[in-house]
Amino acid sequence: MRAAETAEFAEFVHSRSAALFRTGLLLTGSREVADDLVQSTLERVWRHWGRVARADSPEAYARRVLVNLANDRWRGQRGGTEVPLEQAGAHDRGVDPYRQVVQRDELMRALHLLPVRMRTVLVLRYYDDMSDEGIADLLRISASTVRSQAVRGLAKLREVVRGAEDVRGAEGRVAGSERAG
Amino acid sequence: MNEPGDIEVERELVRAMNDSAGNEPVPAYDPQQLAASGRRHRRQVWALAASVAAVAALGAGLAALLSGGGPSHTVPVTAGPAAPRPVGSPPASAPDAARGWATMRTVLLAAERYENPATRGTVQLGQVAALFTDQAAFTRVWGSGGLGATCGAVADGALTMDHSGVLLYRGSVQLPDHAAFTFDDRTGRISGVSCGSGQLPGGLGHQTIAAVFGSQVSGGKAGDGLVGPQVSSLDCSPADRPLTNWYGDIATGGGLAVPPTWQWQVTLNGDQADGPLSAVVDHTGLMTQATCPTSSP
Repeated sequence: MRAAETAEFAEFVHSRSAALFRTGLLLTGSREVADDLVQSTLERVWRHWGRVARADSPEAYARRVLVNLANDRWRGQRGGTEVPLEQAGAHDRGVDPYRQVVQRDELMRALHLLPVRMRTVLVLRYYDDMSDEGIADLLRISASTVRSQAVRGLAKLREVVRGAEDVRGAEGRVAGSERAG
Repeated sequence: MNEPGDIEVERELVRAMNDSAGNEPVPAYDPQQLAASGRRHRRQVWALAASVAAVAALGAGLAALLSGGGPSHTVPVTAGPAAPRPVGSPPASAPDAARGWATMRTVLLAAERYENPATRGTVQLGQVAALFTDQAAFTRVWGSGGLGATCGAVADGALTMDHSGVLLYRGSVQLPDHAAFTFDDRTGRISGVSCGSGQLPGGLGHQTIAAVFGSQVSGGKAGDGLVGPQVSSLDCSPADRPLTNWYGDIATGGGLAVPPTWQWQVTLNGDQADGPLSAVVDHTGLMTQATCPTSSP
């Protein structure tokens, strides 16, 4: 491998690894797993660097690898760790004065309980700011499927947030009546 | 279509993602270490590929390099038996030189089949790649769609003339460039190719071989006036399988016979499992014998 290619790759790693790591983190919910995924992704990118560097966007290739690795890992683990989405908002529901912080935490918990494709669509759409067409190309699905997955994903997240708020409201009312009593 | 409330959820989701991912410190990734790890992986892949090729070679040359579908046969991409010593060429400088020629034959047969859309699916590129010294050599020599191995032009026939090069054909027409491969002396694997348009030694009956089999590939009658009456048939394939490509190994014979004759081993459709067709061409350019592999019809 030529020195020029090594330098190009080093520049790519320095400039893009943080974004890849954060996408990996959102896809997996685990810092360790995201780190592992990014390592594997960058190794794979380097193996094909001669071809990747000539492509329009090495980052697009890297993101595709990362998403595929994340999905592969999820498929490998499927069966033992899924939690019904309805329970997602039930964790750590204690009274928290920082409502917004709690709500975002619930959203992230719920996000990681969505089916992998739905979750991937939401991460790429709302974090990586990719177009539906770009996501469709990356995931090799149609743009209409991307849109329907996004709509269904948002609907599930909204249910979780509303459910959690209802529970908090009920808990607040109970606590208020107990204090009054 | 977004439902009422989705906008709020969208906004909160973006904020939640930014909060969640943005607050995490990013690990440091060392490009040098990643590259070293990538090189280790490549070496492992090549070692594995070499092992596969070695095991395949032990399998009496029958392991398929090209996977067949339907009625088509498979083409072994093993190093195969040693090619005959070329006429008029210097003795092999290393024991593996002949293995290099055999490797060249299998690579060129694979390239011919890969360049033809009808037979492309029978070529297993991973096994072809294992016949090169490394991935870079494969990428460089094989080129786009196998065209690198045939000097940039689609070929369906080839003849090894001597150590200096291989003549390439489309139908019975000789292509302007000929190919010369270089090999790793120790392993016989291909390390490079160069293309040239100069003259190669002639007089070995190669024009007869090219005319006879090249015209068959083109769907024509095999070499009018070039095939003697002693030759009963040149069709060594099942009736439903036309000739798509061929490769003539370097001729043996020549100088000691009076008058001289040359014997060619011609691989048809890339099949080597039953052995090549054996053809004898006399000093007038007439094909006087043609023997199909023993198990052919």
